[in-house]
Amino acid sequence: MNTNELEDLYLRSLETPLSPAEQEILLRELQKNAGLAQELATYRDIRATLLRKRPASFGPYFAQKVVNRIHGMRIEIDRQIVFFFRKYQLAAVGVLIALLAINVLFADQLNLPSIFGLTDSVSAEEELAGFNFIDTLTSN
Amino acid sequence: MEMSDVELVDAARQGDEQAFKQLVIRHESKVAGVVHSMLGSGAEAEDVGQEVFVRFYQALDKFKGESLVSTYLIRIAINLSLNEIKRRKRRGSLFAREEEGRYSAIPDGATDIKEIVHYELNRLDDDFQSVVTLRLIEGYSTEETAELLNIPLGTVLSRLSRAQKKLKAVLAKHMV
Repeated sequence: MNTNELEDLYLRSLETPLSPAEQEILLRELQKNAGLAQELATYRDIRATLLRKRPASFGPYFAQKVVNRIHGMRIEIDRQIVFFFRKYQLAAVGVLIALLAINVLFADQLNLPSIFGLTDSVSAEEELAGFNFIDTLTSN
Repeated sequence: MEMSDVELVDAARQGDEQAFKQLVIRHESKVAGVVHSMLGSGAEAEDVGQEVFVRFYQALDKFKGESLVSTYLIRIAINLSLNEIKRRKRRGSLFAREEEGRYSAIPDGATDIKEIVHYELNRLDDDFQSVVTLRLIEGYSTEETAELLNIPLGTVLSRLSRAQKKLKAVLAKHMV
């Protein structure tokens, strides 16, 4: 087993249990080569240095800051919705003016009901009578 | 009796702000561990930490409880931290502290081994960095690391091995 393979075996031993045969090989090789054993011990030092010793924290009032940020975002979203529809408000007003202009051009009489298309072409009696489907069916 | 995460998520979904706050308090430490390990402990790290919980809040309706709340949060924390690292790299600074003028490169005579280790950790590729953060800094098992990163166990072991070799290569001279 070469040095690189031994190094891999050593690193694996730090993560998962080795088979008895692998353990024996590793132990034998490290006993034979004190220099390599010392070099591989560096891994333990690195790992010990990296491992967190104290619980981490973002500092005081973190939860409240998160809640405040969410509140702020809601306002922001409301603002974005208003801004989004503002673009279409102008377009809608333009379309409305154009439709009114067409109505004015083609209206029979220049009065408000005519311009706004509110002319009454159905009599009050007709409107109240409703649709008699039995008469319509039997007449055919 | 203390409410479970699932109960708190349900309550938060229905607009219970206190329930959501309780979730933040309960999981802050785990998220802070990951974010601090990857980004250091500056203001940007806290900003990323807040963003993790905001994203979680926005996804409350989508959260089906298939994974643990902590797993879900740590995944978000890792992704946002990696994004922040990329953003820093694009800006041409590896460490936020570099911008503050404290140092621009690892000093030859540096003795604070913890600082050096973390500096070198930040120089690792993203894939290696997230594995090292979870397994070696935060102390999750290899199985938990694989689950959190959604990668096979073998991949975790090989990335760990390669990352440690890279760290050892650059740190050997500082650790004798």
